[in-house]
Amino acid sequence: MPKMTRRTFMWLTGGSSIALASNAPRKMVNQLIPQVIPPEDIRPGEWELFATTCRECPAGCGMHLWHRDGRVTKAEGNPAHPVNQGGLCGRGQSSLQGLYDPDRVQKVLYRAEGQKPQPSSWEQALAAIAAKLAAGGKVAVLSSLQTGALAEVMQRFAGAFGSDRLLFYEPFNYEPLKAAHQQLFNLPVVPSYRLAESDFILSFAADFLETWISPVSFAAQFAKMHGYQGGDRMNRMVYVGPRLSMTAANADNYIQVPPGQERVVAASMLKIIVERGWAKRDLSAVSPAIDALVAAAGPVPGVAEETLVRLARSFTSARASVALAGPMAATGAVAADTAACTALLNYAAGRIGETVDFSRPHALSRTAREAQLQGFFASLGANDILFVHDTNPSYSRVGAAAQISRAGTTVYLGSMLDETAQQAHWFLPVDSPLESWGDYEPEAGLQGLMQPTMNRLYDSRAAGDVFLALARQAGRPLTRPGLGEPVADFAAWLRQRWNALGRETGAAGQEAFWTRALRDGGAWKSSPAGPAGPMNLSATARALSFALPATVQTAKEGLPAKTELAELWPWPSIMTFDGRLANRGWLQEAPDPISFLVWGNWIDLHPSKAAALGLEEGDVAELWTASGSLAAPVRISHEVSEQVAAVGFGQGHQALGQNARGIGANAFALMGAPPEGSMFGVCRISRAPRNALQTLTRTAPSREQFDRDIVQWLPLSTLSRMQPGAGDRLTLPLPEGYRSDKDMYPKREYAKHRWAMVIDLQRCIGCGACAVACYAENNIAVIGKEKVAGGREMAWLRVAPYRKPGKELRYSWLPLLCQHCDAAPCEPVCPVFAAMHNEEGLNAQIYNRCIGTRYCSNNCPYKVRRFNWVNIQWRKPLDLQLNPEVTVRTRGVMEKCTFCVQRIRQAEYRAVRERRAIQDGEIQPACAQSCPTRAYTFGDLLDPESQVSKLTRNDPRRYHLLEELNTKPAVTFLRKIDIDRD
Amino acid sequence: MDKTAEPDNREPEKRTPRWANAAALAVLLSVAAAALVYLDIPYPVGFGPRQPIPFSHRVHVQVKRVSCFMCHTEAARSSRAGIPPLQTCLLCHARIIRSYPYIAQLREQFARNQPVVWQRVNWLPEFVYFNHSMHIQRGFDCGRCHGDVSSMDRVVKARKFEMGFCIQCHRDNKATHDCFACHR
Repeated sequence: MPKMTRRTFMWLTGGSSIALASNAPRKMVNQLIPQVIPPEDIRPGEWELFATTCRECPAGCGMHLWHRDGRVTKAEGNPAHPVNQGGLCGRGQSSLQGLYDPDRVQKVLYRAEGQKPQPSSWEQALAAIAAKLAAGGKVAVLSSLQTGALAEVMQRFAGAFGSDRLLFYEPFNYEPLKAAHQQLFNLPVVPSYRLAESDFILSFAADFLETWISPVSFAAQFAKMHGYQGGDRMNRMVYVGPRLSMTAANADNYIQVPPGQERVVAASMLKIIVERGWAKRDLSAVSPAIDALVAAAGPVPGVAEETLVRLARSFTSARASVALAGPMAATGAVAADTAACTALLNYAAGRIGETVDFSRPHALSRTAREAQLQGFFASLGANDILFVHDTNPSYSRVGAAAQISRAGTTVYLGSMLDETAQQAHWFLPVDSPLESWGDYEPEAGLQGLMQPTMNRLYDSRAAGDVFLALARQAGRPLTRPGLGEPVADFAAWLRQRWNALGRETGAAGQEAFWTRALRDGGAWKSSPAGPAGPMNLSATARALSFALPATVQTAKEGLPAKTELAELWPWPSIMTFDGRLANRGWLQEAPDPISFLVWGNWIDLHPSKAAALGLEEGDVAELWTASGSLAAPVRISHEVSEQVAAVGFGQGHQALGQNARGIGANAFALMGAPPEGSMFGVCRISRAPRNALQTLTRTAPSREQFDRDIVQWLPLSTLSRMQPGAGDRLTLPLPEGYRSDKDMYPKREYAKHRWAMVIDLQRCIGCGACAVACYAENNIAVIGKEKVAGGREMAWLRVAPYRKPGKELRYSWLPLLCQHCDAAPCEPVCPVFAAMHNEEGLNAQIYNRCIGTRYCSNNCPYKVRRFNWVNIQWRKPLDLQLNPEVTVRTRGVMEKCTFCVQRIRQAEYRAVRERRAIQDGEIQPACAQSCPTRAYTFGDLLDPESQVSKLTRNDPRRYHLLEELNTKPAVTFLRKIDIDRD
Repeated sequence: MDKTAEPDNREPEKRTPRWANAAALAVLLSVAAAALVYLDIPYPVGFGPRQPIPFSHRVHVQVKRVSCFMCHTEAARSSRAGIPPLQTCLLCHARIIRSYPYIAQLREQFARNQPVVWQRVNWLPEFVYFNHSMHIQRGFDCGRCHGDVSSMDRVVKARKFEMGFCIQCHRDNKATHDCFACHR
C-alpha cells in the first residue's frame, strides 16, 4: 500500500462519505409488485385451496392443492372425496415434485434419426406431424390410463385418421383379474371392493394397502374395519403369499407359502367348502377343475390342513368377508388361476354383489389386455405415426423399445425425458396434471375433475390441445360426439362433457353444477347406490381349467432343483410404484416400510438360500431370466419364502432425470412372456462384485426392540375386560404431572393450550405418507444416498418398523416425531436457549438463535432432532415448492418437528379474527392430515372435551414411549392389539 | 477552509480579492450540487426510497381523509397489510385528476396490465413471521410501528424493526413472549 498522505486520506474519507450519503442501504428483496387486477379470491400472502384429482396412479384420489402467490406448495387429500376420504399417499403428495421437477423438459425437442434431440418449436412440430398425418401416415396411440374428455379426444383423433389402434397401457394391468372374471362371470373387469363393510379380508398376495388398485381408499377402509371399536370381537385380515409385504405385516395372520401356491391354498379352501357344504352358492360346475388342481399340486408346504379348514370356516361364516387376488405384476396362467380361485371363494361365500361389486367397475378395467398389447406392438411399422402419451413402455416392457423403434415417426407427449421419450422423434412437453384441465373417473359414476392449480411453468400444452391442433392442421378437425361444431380447445371440450354430465344428473343449472364440481373436485352421488346383488356363474365357467404345476415334484418339495435357481418375485414398491415417480427426491428418500431402505432396490433372499449360495447381506447378486438380468445388493431375511428371490419395481432408470438415473435396478427387465406353471418364472442367481453404487442404505439400523418395549401390544382378551380409564397411569405433560420429589425442573403452567397428540398403533399401517407430508410441509431437505448412508438424513418424522418380541414375522410401525416433552431433556442443555419450551407446551427450536452445539440432539432420548451438516441448494424450480410459512434452515442449525406450529398459528389467528375459540379437530398437523388411516389425533390437553384429552386420559391402550425417563411426552401411543383368541 | 487560506494571509499579493475567490468557489460548488441534483445522484438517508410514482400518503390521509384500510384492505384479516393493486387506485382516479402526468402514467400502466414496481420501505428478516391482523385486532394504530405516515409525502421507515423494539412493546402490553410467536 502506498504511503497514506494527507491528501489521500482526505480523498478516501470524502469519497466514502459521499458514497454513503448518496446510496441508501439496499436490502435483499426490495421491490413490491402488486397485482394490476387481482384474481377473484386470491389474496397476496394468503392460502387458497384448489380441488383437483390426483393422476400419479390409476386410483384417482381427490386432492386439495395449497396455492399461494401464484404457486402451489402442498398437496393434501380432499376430505370430502369418496375415494381417499382425506388421506393421500406419498406418491400423490409428490405430484408437486413432478410439477417442479428440475429435469422436466421445457421445450419442444426434435431428434433426427441417429442424433441427439435438438430444441424446436411448437409451430414446427405441429406442422411437421400434421403434414405426415395428412400424407396418410397411420396413427397409433399409446397412453397411460385415461377416461373422460382426454380419452374422448384420443378416440376421436384415432378415429379421424381411420385407426383403431388406441390403447391405455399400464405396466400393472390386472390381466389375471380380468381373465378370471371373464371366464367366470363373462365380465372382463376389475370390480370395486368394499373393504370397510367386510369383517374378514383374505388377501392372496394382493398388496392392497400399498399399490393394489386403489391403496389409499383401501387403507382408509381397512382402518375402519380393522381399528378397535370396543368389545371383544375384532375384524381380521389374513394374508397368504411368499413375501412379507407391508400389507402382509398388517395381517393378523400371515401365512407364508411358496410362489404360485396361493392358488392351491384358495383351491384347497374351495374344496373344503364344497365338501363340508359351507358354500352358499352352487360350485358343482367348477369343482372338478378345483379337485384336479388340489390333487395335482398336493398339500401346500408349511400350511396344515386344519389351518385351511379354519380359514375356510372363518371365510364362509363371516358376516361380510372378501378375498383379494394378487400379485400385481403377474400376467400368466398361474396368476389367473389365483384370481379365479379367489373369485370363486367370494362367489361361494355369497360375496359377489356384496363386498365385490361388479356394477361399478374400476377404471383399470379399461387398460389394455396382454393380447392387445402384443398385437399393438407387433403391428408397428415404417408408415406409422406412434403417439405415446405419459407412459414409458421402453422401461416397463421387455422388447417394447425395439418394437417402438420400428415405427416411422414416434411422437412423445409427456413431461420427462424418459426411456421411451429418448427414442421419440418429437418430444412435445405437455402440462403437469397440476397445470391442466382434465377429468378422471376412477370407478363408474364417480367423476373426478382436474383444474389448473397454477399457471404453466414452461412452454407446455395440454395433451388434449395437441391432439386437437394436430387434427385441425391435418384438415380433420375433431368434434365431440353429438355436436356438429369443431371444438376450439381442450378446456372447451371438457366443459361440453361436463355440461352433458350435468344434464344427465339433472342438476339445477349447468353453471351451478360446474361451480360445484370445481369446488368439490368432481361430481358423485353423496350416497352411492347399494351393491348390485348376486350374480350367477356364466356358462363359460364350466370350462374352467387350471394350469397344473410343471413338475409336481418341485411344487411338493418346494425348492427348485438347483441352488442357484430361485422363483422370481418382483413387487411394486409403495414409493416408486412402476417407476414413473423415481425422479422424485421425497420418494427416493422415503424408507421402504418393511426394510427401511432408501435410494434404490435390493434382492431379498431367505437365509438358507443365501447360505447355500454363499451370499452375505450387502453382497451384490445378479438375477438372470430368459428376458434379461439385473444386479442389486442382497438383503437376507426370513420375510421371503425359501425359494424366492424378491426384488422391487420402479428403480434402475437409464433416463428420466438426475435422481432416478443409475439408482437401483430395473426389475421389469426380468419380465418376459408369462411362464407356464409358475407365477413369475425361475431366475438364476449369481454373485457380482461389490461396488460403491449398489449398497443397502438404511435409516434405521435395527428393527429389534432390545427389551425396551418401544412398540407395545395388548392381547384382545385383556383389552376387552378393561374399563375406560383403566390401564397405564401416565404422567401427563400438565401441571398435574408435576411431583416435587421426582422432578428436577419447576412446574410448567399453561394458560391457553397444551397441544398434544395421540397415535393409534392399531390403525397405523406403516405407509409413510405422513413422513412425506412432513417433508413437503416443513421444507425438509432431500440430501441423497451418500449422506443418508452417513447418518445425516433429515426426516423429522420416521415410521420405523419394530419386530414383535418372540415373533419372527410380526412387525408394527412406530410413527416417531418430537414428543414435545414437558420435561424435555433437550431444553436445559442448550447454552443459547435455542431449544425453548413454548407457552402452549411445544418444544420450540429457534433457528436464528441456534449455534449448532448439538447438545440437545445428544440429550434427546427419542432421537428426533436433525442437524444440518450442509447447506442444501434446492435445484430450481424445486424452491418454488418451499412453504413460505416455514423458515428454510441453513448449515449448522438443529431442526425438529414443531407440531406444524404454522398451522396452529393460522388456526389461532383465524379464531381470534372470528372472535371464537378454536374448535377441537380444527388444527391438523401435516402428518395427521395426510394419514389415510386416521392414526393421528391432535388437540388441546387443557380442553377436557377434546378428543385428545379423552384418549390420553381414558383409553385403556394408552402408553408413553420411555415413560420411565419421566420426560412427560405430549404424544401418547395406543397399543397395537394382539388377537389372541378366535 | 480558513486554514488553507492562511498562506494567502501571510503573503499578501493583491491580484484578486479574497471575496472573489470565495464567490468563485461558491458558484463552482453550487453548480456541482445543482448538477448532482439535476442528474438525480445524491440521495440522503432518511428521505425514504424514491418511488416510481410519487404517491403522497399525506395528501391521501391527512388532506383527503382516506382510511388506511381503504387501500391496505388485508391488514385487518391477513398477515400482510398488502400493497393495493392498481385497480384500487383507479377506483377514484378513473374520474379524479385524470390528466396529472403521474396519474396518466398510472392509467396507462393499468391499461397495459403492467404493475407498478414499488420500492420496499419496511422490511423484516425472513425468519420473522409478523401478523398484521393480530395487531390490528388488539387495536393498535398503524402508526405505532410505521410512524406518522399521514404526514409523509414519501414514506420513510419510521424505525428499524429489530427484536428489541418488538419485545419492548410486547413487554409493555403484557403480550406473549413465546419464541414461536414470531420464529418458526
